[in-house]
Amino acid sequence: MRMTQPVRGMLAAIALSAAIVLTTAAPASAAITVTLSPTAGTVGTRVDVLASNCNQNATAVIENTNVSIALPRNNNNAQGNFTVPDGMKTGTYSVLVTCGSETASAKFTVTSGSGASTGGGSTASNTATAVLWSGAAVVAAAAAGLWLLKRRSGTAAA
Amino acid sequence: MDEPGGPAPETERPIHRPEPAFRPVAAFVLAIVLAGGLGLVVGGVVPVPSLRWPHFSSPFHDDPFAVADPAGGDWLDRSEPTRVDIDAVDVHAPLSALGLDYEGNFEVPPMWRPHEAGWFEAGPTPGEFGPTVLLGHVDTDRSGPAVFYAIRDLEEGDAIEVTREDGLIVTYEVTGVESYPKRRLPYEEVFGVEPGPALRLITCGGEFDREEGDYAENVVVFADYEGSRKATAKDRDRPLKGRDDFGR
Repeated sequence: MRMTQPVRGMLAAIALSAAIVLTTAAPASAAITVTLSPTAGTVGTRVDVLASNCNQNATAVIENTNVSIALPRNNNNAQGNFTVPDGMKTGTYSVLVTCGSETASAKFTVTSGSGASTGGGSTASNTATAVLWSGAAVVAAAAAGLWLLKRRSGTAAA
Repeated sequence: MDEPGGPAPETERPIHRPEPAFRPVAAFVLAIVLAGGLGLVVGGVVPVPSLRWPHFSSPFHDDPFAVADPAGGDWLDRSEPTRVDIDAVDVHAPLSALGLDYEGNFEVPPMWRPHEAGWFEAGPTPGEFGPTVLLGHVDTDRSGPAVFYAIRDLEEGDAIEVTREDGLIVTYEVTGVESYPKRRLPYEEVFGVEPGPALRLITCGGEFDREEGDYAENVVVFADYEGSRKATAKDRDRPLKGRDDFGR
């Protein structure tokens, strides 16, 4: 499947470059877009919601929940925020914004709040053990040095 | 050291006998080294809690859209990423789509595909406004370094290229590399908006906890959008690394 990707990509590139030419030629107004920040977070995270190109008060709901968000008009946009409620299950949710007769959505992901388990440990050195042994080696070397010094000073004194 | 008294008594002494002033100095230095060595031994046995600067956050929540305008640039439309290339650390990896696992943790590529990285599918795609997040293993459980092993060595200004399904290559410039305890991954920084499209690479770092079977920290590479170009034949011919390029 991956083998075909360059070919598909090339075709897509041609199609998209044509599309870009068309869209840039069109006036840059119209469709509202929804942006979230952050796009992922744990329960209790405050999420800002921005509906661009929505020049009026708008509302938003989080799909499959009873959370609704007011987005007061702010310059040419509508903007508000919500806090991920306690008990919200982990997963990806659509935040659906209604601005007049238009709607648009963006996705928010509720995570467990932990980081990513991106390692198996095969390159991890056991640092504690390494430190212990190098420490022991240093102690041994220093003790030997001191002993040599003492012995030589002893023979000199004798 | 230089005793004007003389060469005469000097000849009677053993040649290798230390100068009188040398001995106490040497003893002192060795005593310090000894103490340092003992400290290392103790430190190796007793786990030392890592000191961290407490995280101060402003009581006034900053409006992320005060500086970041999603409509403020000709960003790209959605198109899924297919590969990531970082010449500076010799990364040439295919990308798979990742979500969350059943516990709500970030999904990661399978351990038996150490050459593969992934992208967080619920987030923006490269070149779209917002943070695109790529995740990859630093190593696997057995076979040694994996796809994102070297990204900790990235430096400010290094280039990262992400190829999209539509044939565009989005280029980013590294702005920083940070390491965070996994329990305190700063979502606002990693998943928050920037003034333009942004890229974050996530892998593991810090100590490996053998009981937990997991690293203590996540290394996050932050990069900013530079621009995009159409993939040339030369770009498309760049070989991807395969499973055989890693370990065993």
